[in-house]
Amino acid sequence: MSGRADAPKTVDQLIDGPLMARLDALDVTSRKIFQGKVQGERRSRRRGQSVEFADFRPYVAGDDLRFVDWNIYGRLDRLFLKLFLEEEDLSLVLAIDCSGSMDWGTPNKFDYARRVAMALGYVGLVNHNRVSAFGFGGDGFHPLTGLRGRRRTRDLGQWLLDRTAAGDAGFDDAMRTIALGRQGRGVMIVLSDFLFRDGAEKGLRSVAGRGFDVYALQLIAPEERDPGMHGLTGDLRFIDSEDGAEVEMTITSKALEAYGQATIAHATALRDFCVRRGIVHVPVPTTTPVDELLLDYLRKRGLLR
Amino acid sequence: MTWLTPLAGIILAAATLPPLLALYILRLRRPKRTVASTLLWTRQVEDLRANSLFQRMRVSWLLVLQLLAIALVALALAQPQADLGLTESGRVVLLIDRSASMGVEDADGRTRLEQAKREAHDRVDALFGAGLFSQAPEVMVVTFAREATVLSPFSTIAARAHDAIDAIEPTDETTSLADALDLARSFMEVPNPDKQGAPKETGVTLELWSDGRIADLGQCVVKPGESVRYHPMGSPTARNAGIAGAGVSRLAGTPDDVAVFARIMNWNEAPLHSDVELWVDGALRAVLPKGVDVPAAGVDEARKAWLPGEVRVSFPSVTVKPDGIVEVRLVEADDQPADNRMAMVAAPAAAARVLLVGASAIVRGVVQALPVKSVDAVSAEEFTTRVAAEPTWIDAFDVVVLDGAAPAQLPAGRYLVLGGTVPMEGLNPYGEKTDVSMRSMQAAHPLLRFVNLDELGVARAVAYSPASDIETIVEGSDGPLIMTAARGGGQAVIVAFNPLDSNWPFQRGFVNFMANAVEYLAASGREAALPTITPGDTQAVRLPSGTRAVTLTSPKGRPQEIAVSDPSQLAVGPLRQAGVWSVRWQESGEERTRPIAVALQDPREGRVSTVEDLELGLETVRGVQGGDAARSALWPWLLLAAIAVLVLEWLVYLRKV
Repeated sequence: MSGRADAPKTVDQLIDGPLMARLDALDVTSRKIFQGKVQGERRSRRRGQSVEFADFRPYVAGDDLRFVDWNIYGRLDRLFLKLFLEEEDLSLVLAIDCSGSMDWGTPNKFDYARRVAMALGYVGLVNHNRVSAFGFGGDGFHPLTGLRGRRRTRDLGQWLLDRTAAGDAGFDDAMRTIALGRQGRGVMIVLSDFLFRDGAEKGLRSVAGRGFDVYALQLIAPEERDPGMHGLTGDLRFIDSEDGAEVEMTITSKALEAYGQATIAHATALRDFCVRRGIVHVPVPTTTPVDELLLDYLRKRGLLR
Repeated sequence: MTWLTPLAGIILAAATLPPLLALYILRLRRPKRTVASTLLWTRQVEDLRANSLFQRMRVSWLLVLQLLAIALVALALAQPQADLGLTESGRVVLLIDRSASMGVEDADGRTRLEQAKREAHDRVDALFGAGLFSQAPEVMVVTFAREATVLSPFSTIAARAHDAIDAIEPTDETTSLADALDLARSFMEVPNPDKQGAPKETGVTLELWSDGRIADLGQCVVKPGESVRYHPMGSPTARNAGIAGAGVSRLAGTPDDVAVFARIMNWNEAPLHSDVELWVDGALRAVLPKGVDVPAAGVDEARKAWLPGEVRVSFPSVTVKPDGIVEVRLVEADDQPADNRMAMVAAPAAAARVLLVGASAIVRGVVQALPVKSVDAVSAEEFTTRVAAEPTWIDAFDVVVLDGAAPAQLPAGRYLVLGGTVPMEGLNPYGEKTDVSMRSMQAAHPLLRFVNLDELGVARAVAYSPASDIETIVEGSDGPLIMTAARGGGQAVIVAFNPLDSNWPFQRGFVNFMANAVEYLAASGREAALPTITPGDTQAVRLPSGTRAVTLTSPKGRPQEIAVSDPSQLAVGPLRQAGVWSVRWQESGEERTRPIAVALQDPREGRVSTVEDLELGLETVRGVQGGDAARSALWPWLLLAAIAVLVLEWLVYLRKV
């Protein structure tokens, strides 16, 4: 648990009532699942396997007689077929970067990531998706799987509160582990700043081709976007929050300009990679309110509806 | 290269360079700031170092430029002076010409001598301005004209050289460089008492300031180990014309009237027309009616020599009082005014008192026929007795004629010696010649005026080998026949044969010669004798016994008291300025004055155009133009360079920031 004063201490501080009320109307969507539903409108072998009633329709020749509602036939003497919703077991996987670089910025990137994860997890739980959460960082790999239903909200919240940000991310290993333990198809949301010395490509590549509809939410602190506007000037010694490496810099307009170009290049490279792998890259400034992010920003990106 | 203040530059460099280097070596104490990741910063990071006090020195353009700027400022502070090869080490002799031609005023209104002294001062400053890192040379100052004078022997003290240069006075003398070189070389041979046992120094630099018009240049050579730097003074186009000689001739019958002759020379490339005036005792008495036209100077094809244009003029008779000053003036202005006037002291005609010693009847008859005041005759023995008893006895006579007499003692006086040997220093009789005839004679000499010796035949004559200061007037076939000599304030005309041993008494020239000789000696005895002496000469003045002091006044009116130890042999001079000097003394309560005319009579000194390259023996010495103006301060350029480097450093810094 983080020792910062403004760090969330309770589940209510991760997600409050009004937000939960607004999130109740949302559901997680998957571009890949949507394609399946379109196919489901046809006769399908998989439809019969579902138990959730959807509708009736008149019998036509060739329909499986097993789905005829005999009760209606008894009352109306007409053959109707019972239609059931296809029940695809949707997994919502939340991968949260718990490395040291996340515990930085105002607002704190780690706190922001936990709040977003809590909100997304809540949406998944409310909609009876199978929600899994994975924390990876210097403290190790922490999985939380098999959550379903609103009543597991607190479990998810407590798990998030227990996470701390420190050390190296171990992103590649974490992604590979998640990919190997996949259960069904689903949506995977990676919450990270993607500041990995070895790059994020290898890790994302391991999850992109495994049936996940991957969303990469790149959290960006305002100090990272424009360090010059946040008092970073003069001769400084930078200390890396992950590995403690020191860098001596003389902050000049030239240096700030070069840093800005490096930031853009880093984000552009990540986005290009994501586009090539069918991953949705969403840069998220941490100054964006969580409700606005979910209700507006991510809905426009098709993650929620 | 000369450094005026090297210590200041060293102190500045020592005070600033180490701290600057330390700033680059010592690590900057930077405040720590935790960032999410240094990933994006390391791409343009400058310093990625361990946390230590010192860091490895790395090449930085800023450091290089800052070091360069400080070095340039330190160099500027040390005040380097570019000598452009002028600074000598070792021994330097400054030779400064002070002859008459150095008195020419050039375009800037300064005389050549003044300019030479100024350049010599600058040169001394340059030689002694070496500062901490070089050894001051030994400098000797020699000035020369007709004679050379060492004003300062070899010295390492700059003030001594400056004082010596300041002490140089202009003269109207001729120029002789050989004496100056010999004098300087003799000082080089003198071992330095402060450096006993030190190896003999041979190298010497001779710095010569002159206009190059040096009479004895052909006798001067550059010896091994010597290097000559010639600083030509003046302009090669300087103009001059002047009076090269003048004379006064007494007219027969009117003893106070004289005719004046003058020789005018033009050293210019163009012909000259000028008025010529005759002044007597400061008053204009005559002017040539049409002036004078003097041809241009040029190369005489027949004589294969460059010769000045020359013309002779004469003035009709003018009346001159005894000891009156006759002055010929050339009116046309030129660059050398010193030779535009020539003054003479006219010898007034006065009857002479003549003493005949052992004279033959012929000689006695001739002398008695001359316009003399008195003629006394004694025998040779009586002369010897009287002189031994009373040496001043002969002062009562203007001329003593020794006709064949050979006295054992000859006090100072004016003698006409006809045959016989007289005890006179430098005459050197060594035997007898027979059957002698005339080979050559100085026809222009006053003694030989209207004298023709072509028919002279001498049966027996005394053989003489005269010293160099005895002038031979008539040269016989086998030795001198007639000579003049100045000895002990007196004058003598020596005829090597007794007239009775020749056919001379039967010729008209004999009487003329006797008249000329009596007149010449008598005029010499009254010390207003012609010719006018040249600058640098000394003049013997006979004073009444008992005179203790005289006042010598220069042509510019500057008096000088001279103590007299021997009134009969006072020599005044050397008289270095052209013009009329005067000697005053008290006699019987009255002030007496004796004028002495000094005039520039050397045609070589009249050519005042500067020689730009000197021929010294086989070596041609090129003139160094501009003196020490070539020695320039470098610090302004260094400061400019430092400012440029700082601007560049600022631009580099801006580019990095």
